[in-house]
Amino acid sequence: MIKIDEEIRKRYKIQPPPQNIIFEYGKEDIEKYMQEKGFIIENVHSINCTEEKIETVLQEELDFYIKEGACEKILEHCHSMALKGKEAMGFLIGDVKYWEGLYSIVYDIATASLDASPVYVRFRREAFEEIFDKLDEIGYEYVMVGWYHSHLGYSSFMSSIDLDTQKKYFNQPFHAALVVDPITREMKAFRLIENECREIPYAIFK
Amino acid sequence: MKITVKDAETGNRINMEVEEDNTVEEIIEEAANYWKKNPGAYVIRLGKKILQAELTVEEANLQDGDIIELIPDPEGG
Repeated sequence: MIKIDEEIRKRYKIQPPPQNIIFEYGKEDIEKYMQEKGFIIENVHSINCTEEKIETVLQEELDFYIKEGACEKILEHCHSMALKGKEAMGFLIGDVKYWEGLYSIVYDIATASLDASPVYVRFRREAFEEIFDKLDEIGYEYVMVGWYHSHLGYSSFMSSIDLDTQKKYFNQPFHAALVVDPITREMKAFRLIENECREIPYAIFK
Repeated sequence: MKITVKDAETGNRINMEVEEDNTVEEIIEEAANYWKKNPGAYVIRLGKKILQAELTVEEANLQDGDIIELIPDPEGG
């Protein structure tokens, strides 16, 4: 017989959001940022994708922060996979904190070998142990605050399969999905709010 | 014995008592029902290993105090 003794809920540290912002989506141009970092792809034909595009509205409030090093790893991964004509994907690893409301921070990523095509991506089953190694290196009580993946030239949006993943796993008010398109030079973030998908602003900090 | 199930998506944990003949599947079902998740949608890890759902606590060599973690298995398109 199995008996649940207690649930220990994650405690959110009370702390102001990062102040040393180097890029804020909505106020600055992500294409310029990606270009400066060298993570765009030129002279590549876009792929026709028939995935249904979920329409979203941009939320105003900023409550999603990405550490510069993590952002560079995401862009580099998406860029290198796009050069092979494949989508990239990984987990956003970080923490949830509280300051006049909940906000989430991405400190790092965890990814592994992928079953990927130009229009689909998933972790290889045997690759999960690579992810476990990465998680074991983290020296704090991490939360998977979301996931990232890339599109190859058909722009940054949530498709129906992306939305299914969001609803199944990342449905808390602090979870996010980052969708990067190195060809159309976009990186957008999305979240479920009352079961509806919204685009959200994000900030990259040093 | 007492073990802990961690939800990687929230950082929340459940402490529970299990017996040697309980299966990993039963443990995950219990935790997933508590958190209102789909138990079949997750990869279960114990340290660096994937735990097979059909194994019993004894076969999986689960020890008192072990932490097992629910890891999402996302798909993108």
